[in-house]
Amino acid sequence: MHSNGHHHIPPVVTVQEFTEDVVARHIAIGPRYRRALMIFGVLFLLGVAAFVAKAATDGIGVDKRASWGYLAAITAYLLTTAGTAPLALIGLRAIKAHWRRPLARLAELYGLVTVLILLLVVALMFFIPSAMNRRTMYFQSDGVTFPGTLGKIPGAPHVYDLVLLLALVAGGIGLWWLSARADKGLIADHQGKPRNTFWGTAKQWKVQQVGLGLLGAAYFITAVGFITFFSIDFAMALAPGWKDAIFAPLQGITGLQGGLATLILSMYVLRRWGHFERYIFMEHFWAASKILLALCLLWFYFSWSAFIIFWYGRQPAEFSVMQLLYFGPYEWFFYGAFLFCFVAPFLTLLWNSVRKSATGPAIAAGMILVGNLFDKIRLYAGTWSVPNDQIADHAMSSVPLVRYPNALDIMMMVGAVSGALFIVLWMGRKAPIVSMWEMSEGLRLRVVRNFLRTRLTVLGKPE
Amino acid sequence: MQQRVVLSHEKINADLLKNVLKAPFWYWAIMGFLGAIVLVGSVTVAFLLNKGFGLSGTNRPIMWGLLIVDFVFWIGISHAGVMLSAILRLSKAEWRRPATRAAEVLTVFSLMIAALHPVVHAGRAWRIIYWAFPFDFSRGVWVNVRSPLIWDPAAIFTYLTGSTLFVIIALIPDMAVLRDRTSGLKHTVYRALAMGWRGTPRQWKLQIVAGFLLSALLLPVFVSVHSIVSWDFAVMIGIEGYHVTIFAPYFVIGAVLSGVSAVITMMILMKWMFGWGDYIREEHIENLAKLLVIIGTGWFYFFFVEFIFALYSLEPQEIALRELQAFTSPYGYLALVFIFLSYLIPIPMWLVPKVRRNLQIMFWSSLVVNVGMWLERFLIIIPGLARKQVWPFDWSTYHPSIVEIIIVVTAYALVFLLLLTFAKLFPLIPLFDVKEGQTLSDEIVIGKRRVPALRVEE
Amino acid sequence: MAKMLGLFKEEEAEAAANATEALEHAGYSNRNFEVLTGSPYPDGAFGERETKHHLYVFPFMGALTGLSVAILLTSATQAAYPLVVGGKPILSLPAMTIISYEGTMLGAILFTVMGILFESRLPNPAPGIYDPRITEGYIGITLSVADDRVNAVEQLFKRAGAADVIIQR
Repeated sequence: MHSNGHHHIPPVVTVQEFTEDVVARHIAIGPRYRRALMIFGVLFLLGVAAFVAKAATDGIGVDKRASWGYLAAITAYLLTTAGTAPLALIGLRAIKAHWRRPLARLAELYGLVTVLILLLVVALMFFIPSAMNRRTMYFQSDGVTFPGTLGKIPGAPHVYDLVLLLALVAGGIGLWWLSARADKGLIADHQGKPRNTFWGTAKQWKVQQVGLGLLGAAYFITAVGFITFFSIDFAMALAPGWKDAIFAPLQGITGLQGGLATLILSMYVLRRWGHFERYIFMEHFWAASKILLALCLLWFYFSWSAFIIFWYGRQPAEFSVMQLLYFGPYEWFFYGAFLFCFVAPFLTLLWNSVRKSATGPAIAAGMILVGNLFDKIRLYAGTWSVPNDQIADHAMSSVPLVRYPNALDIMMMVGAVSGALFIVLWMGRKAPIVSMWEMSEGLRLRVVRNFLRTRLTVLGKPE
Repeated sequence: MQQRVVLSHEKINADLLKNVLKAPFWYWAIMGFLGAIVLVGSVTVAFLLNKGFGLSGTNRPIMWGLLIVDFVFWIGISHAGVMLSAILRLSKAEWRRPATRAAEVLTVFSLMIAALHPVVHAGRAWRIIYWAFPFDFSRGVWVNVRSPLIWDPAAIFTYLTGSTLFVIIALIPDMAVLRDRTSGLKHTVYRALAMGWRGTPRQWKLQIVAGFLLSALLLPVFVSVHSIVSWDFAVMIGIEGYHVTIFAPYFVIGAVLSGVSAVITMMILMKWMFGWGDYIREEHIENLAKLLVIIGTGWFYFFFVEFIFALYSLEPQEIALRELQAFTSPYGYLALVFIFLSYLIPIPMWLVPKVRRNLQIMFWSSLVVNVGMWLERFLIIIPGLARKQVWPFDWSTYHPSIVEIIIVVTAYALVFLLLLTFAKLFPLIPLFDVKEGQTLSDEIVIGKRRVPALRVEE
Repeated sequence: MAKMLGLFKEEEAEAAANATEALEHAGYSNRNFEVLTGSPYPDGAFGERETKHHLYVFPFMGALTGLSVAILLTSATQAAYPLVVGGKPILSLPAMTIISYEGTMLGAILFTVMGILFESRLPNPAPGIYDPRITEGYIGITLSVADDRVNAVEQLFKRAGAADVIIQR
């Protein structure tokens, strides 16, 4: 690593050196990788077993919802961490940020976790009643309970949420497939196997570029849409008196924050234990941490916007909601969320010297992932514990007591996260875990040159 | 596609300072016209203060009319500066360079004019001083800290001070250029403003760091200002359509949409009026338009959520208000015009690259966005008041008076007048920023292709 | 001692960089000379010394000051004449938070601006040797030289390709 006293110059690597290095690592899998794969696989299976056991003991149904809040929480958690990781990549690709390249394939791999999210959401649907005669985004009523509403929309909310989620899953798989096929061809070459479909013609590259752009935009819109619907149908609509227009956008922001944090932490693991120091350096963490800091502030801003309206209005219905979600049975989860989603990462990332390192942003990212979990628990375990017979009321008649997770809940949560990591690691064997075509493109566009009496990095901007 | 233009410092100085050093005839003609409007407006305001606020069209229950709509509108326009200058500076977007100062100055002047609106709206404007500033005289009562109408002056004052200082600090190197190119009284004034600037590495380093630091400090302030303005409405429980949690980010993103559109309008005008084709190129307008597509779509999402949640609670009063806003004349027609002008016409158009690079279309479409956004503020504020619960006998329709219309038109004239005055005294495009852009531009050869590149300090 | 200013044309920045190198070979370190430019160049482009500043201290000091003043103002005024408004407590923390936040930011911004001026050593009523051509794109290299070395340094500048050399005794 060069430094002329003024500028930190990252190491210069040729495309050939990079290609040979990454291909060799991809072909020869290490024992640690296999071990991790096995551990996550076993934990996932234990999670499935815990689900079956809980179904047998607590039962499944709309009136059994209260004891399944932690499953909803972990589903929302995966949605707003792994499911939203591709959003960070899509945004960075759109603005052509050169530092996105090492985290591109990671983000695409996390997009595949939407398959697991689909399975979890299908399971959760058994606990959500129809949208008829209660306050939802579908405005359904028999015309008596709520006059002047839309009537009946068949299948609401289940069908529409599922359709949106299927679109998201398709998008996630499509993003990975479209990006990975170029690298799969390269690996096939080095293994002496025939290429499948991707030959690297100019037209194929163009199709890939346009396809990734369009698919990325579609995934972004679908993700935001699904988060909106999911958070309303699976949380807000279950708590009578809770009318909060900013809740869905807040979940979107939490998702962006969680997604970026997931990528930063994964990038750190890849650099540290995957030994990718030559390709992932300080500038990647520095750039990513600035956005993470901004997202922490946005998280606080959106949360505060909701809180100040409820606090100022002092409506009884809103006060009950504030009790449930902030200062009542789940207050320690709220404090945990506030601390780890905002206060701690903000104070950590405030310092430029911390942002200009790999460890600092990784620690902040870890904190955010913990805080996100606390946040989802208070939101979903909290609203799912409201008795189903109150669901159409104007306000909560009483705030339910806190429900702490039992062993089965913990096993399910651990199993869900392990399942997500299993998918990432397993699919990481199908194509290299760093996007070779994207990294090679970046290496070609980066040179180091003398400028008067200093040396500077020169970045090509072909657009 | 980037267009590389290489110009000497001398040419840059000459081009960007030509209006400062010697203004053409049309400049004075326009100033005269705007000055006349401002004069008429000032007389109108004096008349209003003398005769009382009954001259306006406001009456129970619609006590907030055009002046408040215009207040929110100009606060919105003021968000252009920080959006472009701060966010693009922090993200090191090269194409920000010609836009930053114009945006920052638009921010300062639109904030000033915005702040005048509630003062005039108070009727007895001198009472505002007692009411908004925390000193205790014979009234024996301090300001009500719990009211968003007190949070407003705190936020606006902070934003105005910060933005003004930001402009001043960034002007120092350009004051040095003017100092070196003028003589007599002008030289004395510019020399004082340049504060002894010489262009040492230390001074340049601090200038760049200052840009980042002040940008980072102003960004949270910019978010808070329009959020607090939105809370003037959102904290109230008595008016349908007001008590919504999403107002803060909804207003902020709407402000960014209208502010950046205003900057596009302004930049195209600058290009045409001052002949700055080498500095304000199609690529700049194209990039601004791309940014607006994203911001506009984000705004539309918030608008959609806000409307949906109005209906979510299934309360008859809220549904009745939305029916009034969307389907009842005159608000229904205004709503149709608003949604088409703010989003459905410009945003799909701006998806087409050829349209983004066509300055005529961009000029008119960016203007049209602001017409739509002005109507948006009108539709948020007025209909809710017109159907204020729970006294149907109070329900009324708002008819703005000629006095209010004159004041609204005067506000526009005053902003343009101030901008043109600024353009006569200081360069609207930062000279050193443009020069730095040239220093940092480079080229990489890949095969037969010469790729434009940027020198980066890591 | 004499003050000297070597001026190099904008398109001959390389010559200016060579001149600074020549000065270093002649025994003048980068603490002795200063480079004047009409626009920012990347750090170290002319071999100048690294700029060390403490600007980042100012916003923190300002933020603390602003926060203290705002908290004092909002709490003292409300406690002085306690009127219950809207059913809210006399010391309403959420409302105080908003004004305290604005006070914090105002303090940070004001102190930052003061810090910028201080660290830039502005205003500087006696700025020293200078030439208006700097703002036209010329690159100036200025240093203080002992009277007996003036000629040698002048020749050094001219050999390096200076367009002009200004000497102030």
